[in-house]
Amino acid sequence: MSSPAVLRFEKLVLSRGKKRVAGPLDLTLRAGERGLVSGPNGSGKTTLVLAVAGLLAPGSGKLYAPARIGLAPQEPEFPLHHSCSFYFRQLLALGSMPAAEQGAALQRALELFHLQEFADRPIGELSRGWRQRLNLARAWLGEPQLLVLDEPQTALDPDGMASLTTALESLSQSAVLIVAPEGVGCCDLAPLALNLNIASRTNTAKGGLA
Amino acid sequence: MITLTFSFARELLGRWGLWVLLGTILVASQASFDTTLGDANIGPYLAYVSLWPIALLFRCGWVLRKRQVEGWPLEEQLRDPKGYRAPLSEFLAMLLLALAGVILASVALWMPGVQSPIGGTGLFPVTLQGHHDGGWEFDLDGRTPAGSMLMLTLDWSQIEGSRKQLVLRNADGGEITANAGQILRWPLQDQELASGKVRLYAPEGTKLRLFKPLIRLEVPQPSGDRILVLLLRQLLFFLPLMAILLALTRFGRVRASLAAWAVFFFGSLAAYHPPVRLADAGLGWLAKTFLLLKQMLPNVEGLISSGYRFERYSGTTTSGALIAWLALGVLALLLACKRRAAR
Repeated sequence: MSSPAVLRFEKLVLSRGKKRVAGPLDLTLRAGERGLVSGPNGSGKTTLVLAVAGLLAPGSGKLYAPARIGLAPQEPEFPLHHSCSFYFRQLLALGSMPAAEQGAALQRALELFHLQEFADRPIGELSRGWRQRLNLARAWLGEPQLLVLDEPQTALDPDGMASLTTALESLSQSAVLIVAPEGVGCCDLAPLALNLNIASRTNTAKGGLA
Repeated sequence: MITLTFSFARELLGRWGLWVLLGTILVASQASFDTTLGDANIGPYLAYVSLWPIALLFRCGWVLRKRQVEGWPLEEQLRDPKGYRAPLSEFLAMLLLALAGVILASVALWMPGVQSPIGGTGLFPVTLQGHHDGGWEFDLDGRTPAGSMLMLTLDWSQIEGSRKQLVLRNADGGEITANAGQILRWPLQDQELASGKVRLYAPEGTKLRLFKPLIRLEVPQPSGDRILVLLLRQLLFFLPLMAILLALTRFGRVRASLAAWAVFFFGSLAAYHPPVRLADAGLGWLAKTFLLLKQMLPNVEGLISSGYRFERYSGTTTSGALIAWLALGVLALLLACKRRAAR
């Protein structure tokens, strides 16, 4: 018996204002599955991310997403004056994690991306690559049911990519949706689930994982 | 929630916040207790101390704006689907710091070398709006505290015969006996307190006159050390404003720094009292517009009354107005906690 769907689109159409951006799209991701959404610039990848995160209402169709989503946006923003650990503790408190469990969750997220030595440094002191690791660690924080990673390979060195691969492999209960442009080396991270280029040409696309 | 509240309070304070608070209290205690300037120094103290919650509102606007560009809205959306933790913690943080201001402002009065502030005289000049044969119409300039009295010095020299007593009446039929050689103290009726208008009539043909420069309104004196109560009332004035700031920023999606200015204007409107000579300066229309807008709000002028006339208005806020004002704050807080649907 297959595990229940964590993320599901049914004839999902994405719009920005009156402009239709992509769709209709169909996709189902179950716990432990990963899927790559690919497409050229302007094909609606970021719009899809926003819709999954609940920041943008779908134009039409159905979108089922879990309550706990971890999102690593393409252009992450941080409170640069806070230390990584102080910032993460606030995020955990925002997610109503009991204080007793916060320490362990914080350590787990930092360890996944080898950020322990930067835990007490202000975020503003981190380089672009380390901030991207922090961006990914933030998405992992609090054990979300669904991880949405928008171009996660950006600014990562080989060691960072290895950390990301390991972190992805460590997931068994969460689904992962990776969004990246065509031709960018994310194919190793997840199988192609949806190609927005085809979606825009054929005006329909069905995604899913075997 | 405690973690979020304290971290937001820490952010509000920043590096200099605590020093700003201490400096405000220090300036307030030194600048307003100069007895050579006069006796009524509670009012100036209240005026100086009110700078702290005002500064807090603007600081909060700045921090909220900063948080908007630091990606907090996205994380709140993802991690706090019900959307009440962040706004509530922000409100609690502001409340906590405003309360700290009240406590410090009260404690400062016990410091060695600080003279305990004392109340005013409780006497205020009153404008005689009109007079006719045997009658006078007074304008008390707005709502008046319960228990206030109108003090009239009467001239009996023109009275025919040797009458030493006369009965004066108001428009509603209330009456009082005036005795020659004594100041007449007319206890204001409910209607007169609310409207700030008084009409008194002497028996026709008695030629009783009034010394116009000596007309005074006597308001109840603060009993004992009422400063803590006055400071807490000031806090009650600011609480709804803090909630409105959060509602504008979160529910209204107004830029936080702009919302702080909007809230400041709104608060100023609620506390608005037109300068006496504004009409003479050709700005009467402006005063009337502000007053019209103010009348749509609960009358909470008394909560924030300060300066040399603080006693005149401090007792004018009724329980009903206070409840309505606080209800406005609760409503704003609920709106701030309400997550708007994705666009």
